[in-house]
Amino acid sequence: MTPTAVTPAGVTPAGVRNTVGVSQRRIPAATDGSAVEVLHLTKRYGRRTVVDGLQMRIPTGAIAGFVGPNGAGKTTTLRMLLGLVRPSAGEGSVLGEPLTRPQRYLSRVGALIESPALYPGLSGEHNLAVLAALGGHDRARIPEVIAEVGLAGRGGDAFRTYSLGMKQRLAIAAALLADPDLLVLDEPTNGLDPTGIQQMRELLRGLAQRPGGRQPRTVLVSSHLLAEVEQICDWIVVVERGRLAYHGPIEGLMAAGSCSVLLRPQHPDHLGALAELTTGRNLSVRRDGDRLRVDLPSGAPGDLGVGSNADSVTDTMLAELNRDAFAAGITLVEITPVRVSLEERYRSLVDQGLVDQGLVDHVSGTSPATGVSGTSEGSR
Amino acid sequence: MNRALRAELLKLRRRGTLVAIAAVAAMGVLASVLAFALADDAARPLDGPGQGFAMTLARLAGPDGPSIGFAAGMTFVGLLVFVVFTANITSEYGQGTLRTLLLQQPRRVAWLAGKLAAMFMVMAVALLVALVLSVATAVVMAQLRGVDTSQWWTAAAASAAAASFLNALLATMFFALTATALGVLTRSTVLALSIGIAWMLPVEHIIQQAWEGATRTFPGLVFDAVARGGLPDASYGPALALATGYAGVAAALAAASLTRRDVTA
Repeated sequence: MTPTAVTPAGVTPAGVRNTVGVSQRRIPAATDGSAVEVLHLTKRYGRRTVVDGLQMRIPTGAIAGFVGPNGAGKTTTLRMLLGLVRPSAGEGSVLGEPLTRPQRYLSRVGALIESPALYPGLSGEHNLAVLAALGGHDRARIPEVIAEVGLAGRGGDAFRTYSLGMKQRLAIAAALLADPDLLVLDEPTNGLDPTGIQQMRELLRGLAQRPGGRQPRTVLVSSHLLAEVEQICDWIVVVERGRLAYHGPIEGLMAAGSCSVLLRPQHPDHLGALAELTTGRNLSVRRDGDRLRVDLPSGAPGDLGVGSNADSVTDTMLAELNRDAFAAGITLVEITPVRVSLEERYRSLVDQGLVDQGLVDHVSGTSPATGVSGTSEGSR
Repeated sequence: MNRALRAELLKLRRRGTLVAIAAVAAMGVLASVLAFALADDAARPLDGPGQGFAMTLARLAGPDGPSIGFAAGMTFVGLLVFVVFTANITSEYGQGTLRTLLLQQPRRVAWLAGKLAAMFMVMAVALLVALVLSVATAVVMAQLRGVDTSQWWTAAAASAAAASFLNALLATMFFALTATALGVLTRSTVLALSIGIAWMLPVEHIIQQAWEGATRTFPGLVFDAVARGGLPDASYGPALALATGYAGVAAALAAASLTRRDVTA
């Protein structure tokens, strides 16, 4: 499987995200090696298709969010990647090894699938000792990973006495025993309170880094908390009804579709005239209090400031609007880009039934047949 | 397999394992006490109503006297082992620990083999403890009942004790493999125990009342025959062969099911 190196419009592959949370991480380029790659991955239970021809790629070193509504097939996909569930069809690779040979790559993979599942009667350390023996890992790693997840001093307590957050942490410690190249975490913030979520977010950011200048871990985090994904991840895979909706840099998803700016004239009386000016440029406009909300066309993600080309297109459009307004005697006292959240963008995609619309053209122009990088999968 | 063996042995280093060993030992002691306490003073016909316990003090004075109680108790130990192994394997599904374990050891059959090997080792220790305590109890009980123990400290007695231990170990392994297969196939403690216990206790014994061939045919009764070193209705050799066949089928079913089925727990 050779990935098609296509980068979504408006994204600088080797650039640095300017959103909160991942400012120190390089956005993986579409041409980076793949930690995970699947083609036409399918899982059927009887007549029910849970994962339907999924195609996705996760570059090495990415912190990838794996999002989708409940029942979208996220956990089943992760289970297939980890050799727990056998695919009905399709192929793939994890860390360069075929999906059909999990014993070749699982020693370099750490994972937490669904709820933390360890022996309740054993202490945290005892549980990790069992798993270290089973995985052939150095038991000297146990205190290290316990400290890494912030459970130092509690390792001797029985697992059943842990809070849910502590159980999640211990399960992540178990996943770290192998010092894995790929970390797969399924809903690690499930059931946590806001403080626990905040702590988990910090933990996940730290887990991606490895000391000694080694290559960062690839982290694949399944979640339905899009705000979390937006803050932590630099790559995103969106699935809907078992099919790929989008995968690529988060900026690529944000850049897809329209975005908006708010324009406020000095005098509210000028709102009507300003609206005429903007509609004259075939822009969608609606009133928002004493301001106008103008939807910019696709591929103009000026609100996010993620790509210099896209910025210049938006800047030019806004400059022209401003000039026309000034010429018409309208003074703009506010031009505010509206930042579209990942959640809004995601909902927009899902609500539009993006899979069936062949959003591939909308996002990146990549062929759905090969849509392995920075694209959404078109209809089949 | 070695990694799975070490991991399971590590897991078994806990109080619950000691309790299980103590339970097996207690069964051995209890069986020994009962054998001596209920033994008749003189031989009586085995058949017919009101003939009492088919054990005599003269029989207990023989070379196999000290281990007779141990062998008799293995029927109950077999059922205990069945319950323990069933609960152990199904709890891996119920608690979801199976997925955690298989992420560390994706070779499923190797994992299962290592796990069973570790549990068999602990089981062997438990049986050895039970045998020692059972023999010790027999010595005390022999004095109380006035049983002559001159034949107990001979090579023949040691050989009989060793045979009892080996038979008990084999029988409990057969019970354990059957329990494991049922556990892997049903993935449910309640279901596996219901099927296993219902079959091996009431069903097999009801049929046995009507058909003497049941003793040398049905798995629970055949395993019991092996544990006792053979019975009048089921001689040792054929019973051992059939029991080995049952265990082999159980092991194959468990391995096939574990390998081929998805882990969704």
